[in-house]
Amino acid sequence: MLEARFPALVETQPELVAQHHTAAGCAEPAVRYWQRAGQHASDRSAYLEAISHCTTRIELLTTLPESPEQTQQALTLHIALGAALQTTTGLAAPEVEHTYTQARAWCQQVGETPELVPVLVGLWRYYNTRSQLHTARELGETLLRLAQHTHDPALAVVAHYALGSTWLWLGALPAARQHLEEGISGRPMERAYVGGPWPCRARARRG
Amino acid sequence: MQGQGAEGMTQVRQGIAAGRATGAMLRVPYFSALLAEVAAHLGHTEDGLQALAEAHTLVEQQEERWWEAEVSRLQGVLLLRQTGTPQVEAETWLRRALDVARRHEPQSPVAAAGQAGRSACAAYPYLWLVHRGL
Repeated sequence: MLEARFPALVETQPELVAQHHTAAGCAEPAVRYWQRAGQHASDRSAYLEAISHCTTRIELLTTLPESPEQTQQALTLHIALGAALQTTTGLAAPEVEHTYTQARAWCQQVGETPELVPVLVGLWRYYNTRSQLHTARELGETLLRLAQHTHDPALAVVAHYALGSTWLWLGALPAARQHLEEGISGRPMERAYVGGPWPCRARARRG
Repeated sequence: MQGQGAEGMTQVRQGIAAGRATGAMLRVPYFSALLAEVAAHLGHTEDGLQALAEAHTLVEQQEERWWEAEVSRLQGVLLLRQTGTPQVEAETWLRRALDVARRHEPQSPVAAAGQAGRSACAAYPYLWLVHRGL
């Protein structure tokens, strides 16, 4: 009804439509529009709004009965929330770790999913930036095993960058060099992971 | 060098504090060594040694060892300037800096400076520090 009468509003201000559905107690369409609002906000680099939309939607999701779809939505939401929090609070803020740890738990419920990658990368960035380097190294090793298991050369580049960086801070320069060189020799990435152009940064460290 | 060392020290201190407030501890040993270097230029030996004490603590706590050689080298340099400190104590730190640098990688700048200094200035063990401008 609302959508049919105000199609432009749905496009430009999905959060308004979401608010109406929330107020009317229609949780399912509300969740859908909050998702669109969150994406809309992130696309415009409006991270505070994205965080607010994601949080609202996560709260709404808890009112719905448990289902595989709900678990998947919770996972996707936590990943979006983690990325926005990294931008507003910094990579090392406790809420970033909390969000990605929850996302990792959702990943375990979902089973094998490519969404484990941004979660592990987010956790690696958190521990690396806090200089909790052995935890960061373990996450890098998990990423590399995942890349080998899934035969994903793009993910291998990300994993080698993570390990090369963390070994560098640990002062193990030969290990750092080996991983960075392996990352550089890997195939260029075909898709971007949440968290930035990793292989470009790996290349920049070559000199 | 613009001759505004005191202002520089304040800014480095503020930068370290602002970064730490976000939970970011990576590279804080490096930033502390920078602070010590500014203090050394200003002749504020005690401030420099205090910054290095913080750097040493974090290097050990975090096992973040990539800048450890430079932290040890600066410790030796500042101890040499401190009146009343036996020279042998400074020498211990300088030797440790060389050991750490060699362990990290034979071609690291500190190790290279040490080797160049040792061969060229065998009769004057600390002259290699001049190579580093300190």
